[in-house]
Amino acid sequence: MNLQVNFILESERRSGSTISLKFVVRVVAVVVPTVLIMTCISLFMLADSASRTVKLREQEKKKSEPKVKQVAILQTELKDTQGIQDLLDGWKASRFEWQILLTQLQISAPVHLQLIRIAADEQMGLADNVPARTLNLALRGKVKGDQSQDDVKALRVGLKFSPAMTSLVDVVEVKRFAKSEVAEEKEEVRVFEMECKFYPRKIIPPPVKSGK
Amino acid sequence: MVMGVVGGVGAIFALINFFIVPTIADWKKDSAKALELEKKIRQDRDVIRTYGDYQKQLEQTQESIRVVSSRIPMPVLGNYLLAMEDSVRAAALGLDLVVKSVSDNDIIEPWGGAGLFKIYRVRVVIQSGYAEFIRFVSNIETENPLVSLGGVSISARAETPERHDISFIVGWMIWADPEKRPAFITAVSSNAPIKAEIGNNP
Repeated sequence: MNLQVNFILESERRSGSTISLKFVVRVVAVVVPTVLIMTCISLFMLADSASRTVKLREQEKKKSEPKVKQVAILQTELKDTQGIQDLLDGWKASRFEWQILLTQLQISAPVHLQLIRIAADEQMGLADNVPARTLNLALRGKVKGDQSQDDVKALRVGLKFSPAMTSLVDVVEVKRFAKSEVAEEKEEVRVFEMECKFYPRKIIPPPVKSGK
Repeated sequence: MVMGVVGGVGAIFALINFFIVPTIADWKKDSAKALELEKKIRQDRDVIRTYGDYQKQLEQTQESIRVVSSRIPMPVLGNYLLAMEDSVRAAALGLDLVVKSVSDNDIIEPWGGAGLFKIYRVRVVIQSGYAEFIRFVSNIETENPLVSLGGVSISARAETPERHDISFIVGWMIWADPEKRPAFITAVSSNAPIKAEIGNNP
């Protein structure tokens, strides 16, 4: 019978592998805290840097705020001023040019036609809910000769369709065409009444009153 | 040794939970805030860059209004009619017509009560031939682009067929409250009443 005698004490026993558990524990005990500490330091530095950046940006923003407010004030002032400009331009552009109207009336009236009354009624009204000038022109006249009807039609056409008037005049209506009631006037004299309605001309609404 | 390991794990856990995680959260929050602030600062810079353009536009618009507003008459001791009559009679100079009267008609507010402007209107009565009347009207309209005519009434006269009875309204744009004109007008203002001269085009 073979006997195995072991003279090595327990405490003298060593592992056969190159890495012992003790070694691993020692390494972990050093590396892990080191990594953790390095991580903490890096995180702290990053967080601190981000915090400083925020503070810097906030200071920069505060510096630019008054200038941004100045621009906003300037924009408002410009808008108000442009409103005044629009108002003046709108008033100028909306006026009926009487020199043109009267000249066109003269040009459109045939030779044998005589106007005895011209009456214009200009009012301030609304067009598409915007203040606008409106104009109605009432004409009364006499015409004689065989062509009296044609002459009145020619006047109507001239007032409605001539280049100077076509964009101004909406409707031209002959309200009356009849024999003259004046005894002294000859048989061929006719009296007529005509109404011209012009397109409304919008003026621009005003800005809010600036008491500056 | 076991106690050591447990203690170590506990310390690591506390470090992660009470320092690392909150620090990461703060870092993320601050980074996002910094990005947002940078974006707003860029926007502010873009806005600030427009100041010069707006200033220029404002000056041009104000100058344009100043020029036109020189055609807006001011009252003379609270009276507009004197200057208006002068203006009307000046437009008739050199024409073969008779200005019979120039009188107050009304004051209207086409834009409602809150506007900067009103329209002061006078009624003019003349005797004139048709062609002369056209010239008269042309003089009035040319002298001031803010003046407008209305209420024209022309009636033939049996006794003088070449002259007619003519009545019409002339309206001038006036300040609703001259004391409350915009500051940029009062800052450089002649304050002189409108001059009644033919051909004094703006």
